[in-house]
Amino acid sequence: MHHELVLMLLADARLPVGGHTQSGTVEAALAHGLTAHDVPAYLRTRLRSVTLVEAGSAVVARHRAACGGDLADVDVAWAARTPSSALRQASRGQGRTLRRLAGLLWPEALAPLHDLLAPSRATVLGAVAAHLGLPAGSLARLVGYDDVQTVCAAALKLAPLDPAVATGWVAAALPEIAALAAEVADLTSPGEIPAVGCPQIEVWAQAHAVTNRRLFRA
Amino acid sequence: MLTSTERVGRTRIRVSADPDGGRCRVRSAMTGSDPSTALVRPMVLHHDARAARISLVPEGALLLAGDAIEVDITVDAGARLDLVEPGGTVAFDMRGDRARWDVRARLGRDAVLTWAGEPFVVAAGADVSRRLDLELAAGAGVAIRDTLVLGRYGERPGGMRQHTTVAVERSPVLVEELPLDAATAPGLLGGHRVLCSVLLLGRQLAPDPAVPDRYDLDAGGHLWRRLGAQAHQAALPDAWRDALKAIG
Repeated sequence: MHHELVLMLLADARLPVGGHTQSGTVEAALAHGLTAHDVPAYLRTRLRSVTLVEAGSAVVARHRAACGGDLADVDVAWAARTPSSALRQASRGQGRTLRRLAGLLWPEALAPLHDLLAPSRATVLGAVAAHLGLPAGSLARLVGYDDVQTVCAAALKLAPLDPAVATGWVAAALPEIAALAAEVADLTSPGEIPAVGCPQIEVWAQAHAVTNRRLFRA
Repeated sequence: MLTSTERVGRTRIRVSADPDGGRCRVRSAMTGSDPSTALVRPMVLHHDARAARISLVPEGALLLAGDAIEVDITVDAGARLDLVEPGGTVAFDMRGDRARWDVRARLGRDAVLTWAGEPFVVAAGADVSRRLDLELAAGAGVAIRDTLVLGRYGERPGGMRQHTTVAVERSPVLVEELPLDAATAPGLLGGHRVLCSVLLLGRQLAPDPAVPDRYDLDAGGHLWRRLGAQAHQAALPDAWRDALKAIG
C-alpha cells in the first residue's frame, strides 16, 4: 500500500479509535485558566514535551517492530517518561482501541505486541506503522499532527470559536510538527527517546482524571 | 559540555555497613581542578551502626560561571545515608557562560538514601545544567526533596536544564528532562516560578486519589509535585513527611 494513503487513513478523524473522546488535556487547561487565545502557545508546549515523547516512542517502536524485535522495553521507556498516571491511562486507552481495530484489519501487525498487556498508543501505533510500511518521519508527523488536531477540535467544542480560526492554528503549527519529526525520525533505541516533561500539563491531566465535569475523557 | 574555563569540583561519598556490626564506614574525598575551584564539603554530622548523616556544605561562592560540581554518592548494601544542606543554592548571572551541577548516586541492595534538598534558585542570566542519576539495586529506598526556583523575587527566570534518570535494577523508572528558561517556563510550568518535588523510590504507598499532588510511577515509587508562584505555595511538607515515613 502506498505510504501516503496509509498516512491519510491513520490521520483521518473518522478512523474508529475514539479520537473524539480526547482533548489533549486542553479541556482541563481551559478549566484552570488557559484562554482560547493561549491555545497556539499550548500546542507549541505540547509539541516540545509530551507529544515529542509520544512521537519518539512511536518511532522507536516502529523500528523495533520492523526489525522483529521486542517492544516491551520501548513501552517501559515511554512509561518512565510519563510520570502522570492520568496521561498513561489516556494513552493506554487509545492504544487499546487502536489495537482492537488493527486486530480486525491487520492481525499480523500485532505480533510484536503479544507480550504486552496494556501498551501505550505510541507503542501500538509503532507496530501498525511497521506493518503497513509507514516511514519513521511520516509516523512522527502523524503523531504531531494528530495531537494538534485533537487539541484544536476539542477547543472548538469547549470555547466559542470560528472553525477557521482553529484550522489556522493547525496550519500555523505545521512547521513545529515538521521540526518535531526531524528531531525523532532517526531514533532507534529506547534510551534515545526524548524525555521532556511538562509539569503543568501533568497537573492539569491529574485534576481532569478525577473530575466529573468534563466532555472529554482526557 | 566541558569548556576550557570549567572548574571541576568533585565530591565523593561512600557509606558502607560494617560487617562486624560496628559504626558504618564513611569515606569521602574532595578534589578541585584548580585552587580557585568551588567545592562542596561533606561534613559528617553523625554516624552510627545504622546510618551516616552528612551535611553538604559549599566552600566558596556557588554557583558561578564555569563551576562544575560533581557529587558522586555510593551507599553500599544495607547502609544508609541521610544528606542535608545548610542552605539553598543560587546560580548567579553567568553573562553568557555556563555551569553544571551533576549528582550520581548508586545504592546497593537494601541501601537507603534520603536527601533533604534546599531551594535551588536560578537567577536571571544563569545557564545551568543539573543532572540527577540514580541507580538502585533491589530493596533500596530513596527519598529526595527538591525545590526549584526560577529567578529571585521579581526577577526573570534564568536558564536551566534539569535532567533526571532513575533506574531500579537497571530498568528505567523515571526519565525526565526539563529545559526551563524565560521562553519555555510559561508553557512547561504554566507561568509558575517554583516547582517543588518529593521523590520516593523503592517503597510503595497504597493508591490514594485524594492526594492530587502525587504521581504514582508506573514501575513503582512516587513523585509529588506542586507548582507555585512562591516557594511556600509549592511546598510539600506532608509529602516529605510521608516519604520519610515510608523509608522507615
